[in-house]
This record gives sequence, C-alpha cells and structure tokens, in this order.
Amino acid sequence: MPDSEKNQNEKISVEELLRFKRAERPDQAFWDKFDRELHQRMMQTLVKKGPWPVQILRGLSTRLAQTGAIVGVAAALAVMVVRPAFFATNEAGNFEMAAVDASESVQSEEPGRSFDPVVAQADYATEVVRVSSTGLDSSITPEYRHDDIVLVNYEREAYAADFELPGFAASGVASIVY
Amino acid sequence: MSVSESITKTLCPTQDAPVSDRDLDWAIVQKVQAGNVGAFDQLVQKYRAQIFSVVYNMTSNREDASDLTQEAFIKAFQAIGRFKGKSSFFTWIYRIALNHTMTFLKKRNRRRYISYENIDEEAHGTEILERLTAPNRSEKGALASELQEKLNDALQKLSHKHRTVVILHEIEGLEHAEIAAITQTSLGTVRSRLHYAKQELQSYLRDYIT
Repeated sequence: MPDSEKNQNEKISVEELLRFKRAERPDQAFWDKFDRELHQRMMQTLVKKGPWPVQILRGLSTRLAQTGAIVGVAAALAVMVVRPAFFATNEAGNFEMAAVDASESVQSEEPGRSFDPVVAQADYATEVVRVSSTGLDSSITPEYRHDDIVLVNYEREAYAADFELPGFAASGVASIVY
Repeated sequence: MSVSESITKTLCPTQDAPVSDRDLDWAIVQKVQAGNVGAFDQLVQKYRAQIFSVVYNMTSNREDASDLTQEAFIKAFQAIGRFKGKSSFFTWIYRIALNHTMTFLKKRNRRRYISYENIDEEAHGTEILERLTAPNRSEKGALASELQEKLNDALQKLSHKHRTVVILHEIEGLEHAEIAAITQTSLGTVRSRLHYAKQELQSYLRDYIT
C-alpha cells in the first residue's frame, strides 16, 4: 500500500473494498435540491406533454392547423394571381370593343365624369411608320425591303392592372405581385 | 380447513399474504395512470437514492448522476401510461436509468470529469478504513479520500457491462436474478461478468488486498 500502512494481520477482499462505496452518500441538502429540480422539470414536462391521448390530439390539431394555414395562404395567393388575370381577360373584350380611334374617345368623353374606362383604354394608339421605297432616290437600288417600325406597341396586359379592381386586387399588393 | 376455504385460499393467495413491495409499487403506478400525478412522488422518494447510487458509480460524477437520475424519473413518468406491470416498477426504473446512463457514457467517450460524492463516515462500509489503518495512526480522512479515488478509478477501467454487474451486486446488493432481469441477460451471463469484473478489480486494487 503506497500511502498508508495497513494491518497485515487481516485479509481484505475486493468485495469488502467495494462495500466502502456504499459510504458515498449525498447529504440532505443535495436531496432538497434534487427534489426541487425534479419537480420543476416534471412540471415543464406536464406543461409540454399531457397524457398520450392528449398528445396525439394536440399533434393532430397542430398538423391540421398547419395544413389549414398552408391551404389558406395558397388559396390567397391563387386569388391574388388568378383574379387580376381574370379581370384582364374580361377587360380585353372591352378593349377590343373599344378599339376605336383615340380622337373619337376624347370627343365622346362627358365632362365631369371621374372615370371612363373607354378613355383610359384609348388614350394611346399604335402608330406605324412605314418606310416606303417610293420615297427614295430612284438611282439607289434598295438593298433592303420595306420595313415597319413600331413606335408604340400596344401591350394590353401591361395596362390591365391600372383599372379599378374590386377588393383585394385593387389594394396595391395585387399590383405588386402581378 | 374446509374444501371451500382451501379453494378460496388457492384462488386468492394474496388475501393473507403480506403485501409485497411490488404490489405496493403497482398500486401507486395505477394511481398515477389514473391521473394522480402526485402519487409518482412516492416512487421517486422510494427509489431516488438507489438509482442515484447506481448512476453515480457508473459515471463517477455527482452532477451527471443527479441529472441522469432526474431524467430517468422523467422518462419513467412520461412512459408510465405504457407500464403494464409485467415486471416490477423497481426493475423497470433501474432499466430506464441504466439504459439512459449507458447512452450518456457512450456519448461522453473518453472525456471524463470526476466529481466525487461525500463520504458518510457513519455509513456501513467505513469499517474497512479501520482495518486498513494502523491502530496507532489517525489518518482515516486521507485514507478515505485515497481509497475513494482508487475505487472509482478501478471501476471506470471496467467495461460498461462489467461495471454495471459489479455495481448492482457488490455495491447495491442485488441478487443475480434481479440483475439478470434489469440487464435483460441470463443468469449465466451475470455470473460470468461478475467473475471477470472482480478479477479485473483485484488486479487494479492489489495494493489494498492482502
């Protein structure tokens, strides 16, 4: 034995040595703290998790809520995307019906009218400048064919959201998304 | 004893028999399962010291042992709805605590932080100090610390399985059959592990063994 003398007359077994481990015991202060901590942790467990049927119900309701939220958001997005497009399609018919000369529309405008979709639709026109070979010097052989230069392109869709739309589509958010 | 009395006694053997610990525990478990959460505290009070002792001897760290013991009780509390009473609550909680400790030890790997428990000098087992100390020397305190360190060191050198068996049998005083039930192994395996573990300890602690 390195650090202490031992009584050489008595035999000591491994079992007896191991029994010394039984003397390693926590004091009452340790158990008070242990109980306090355990109760706190169990309370947290109780708050977080109830009995298993409740846990299952909670899990199901949470999943249902999540699914509902996802479906709701998807539906809202669909409405935001589809409705302006629907309006644009409907209004396209109006555009075609009102495909008249801009000057006519201006003339037909009644004073004091705050909003006239016809005016709004017809405040521009497609202008085409045709470069004709007849206007060129006859001595020059044209190396090109007639060409059309489109100055203003009529893009119906680009203006579709400018119209007054009912509900959420007119809120501004729809325009941004659109 | 009449025939009818004999039949009644055969059919209901527990009527006169003393209520065992297992039956008492099962009654408490049923209370908890019925929703009396407070009844679980009785089980905690009854087994916390034993569970802590096993976990402490497995880890050699009192803080880890405290945490692991608490977690074992929380796991048992969470799973008590599924406890059918096929084994005793005692076996069940020991099994939970040991499995949880094993998982912890596997994660801890080689990192080992030692934090020893206090030695209760009045506790059974300290008489070994008297035998190890020369009659004319008053060095019990130093020897106790030294022996504590050596024993913990020796136990930590054993594999988890051998350590478990030797702790349950030699320190906790459990029977081989109880250990077999807790560790879910055969009696032969328990005995063989115990034999090997003691041999190992004998070589580690040869300085103290005459």
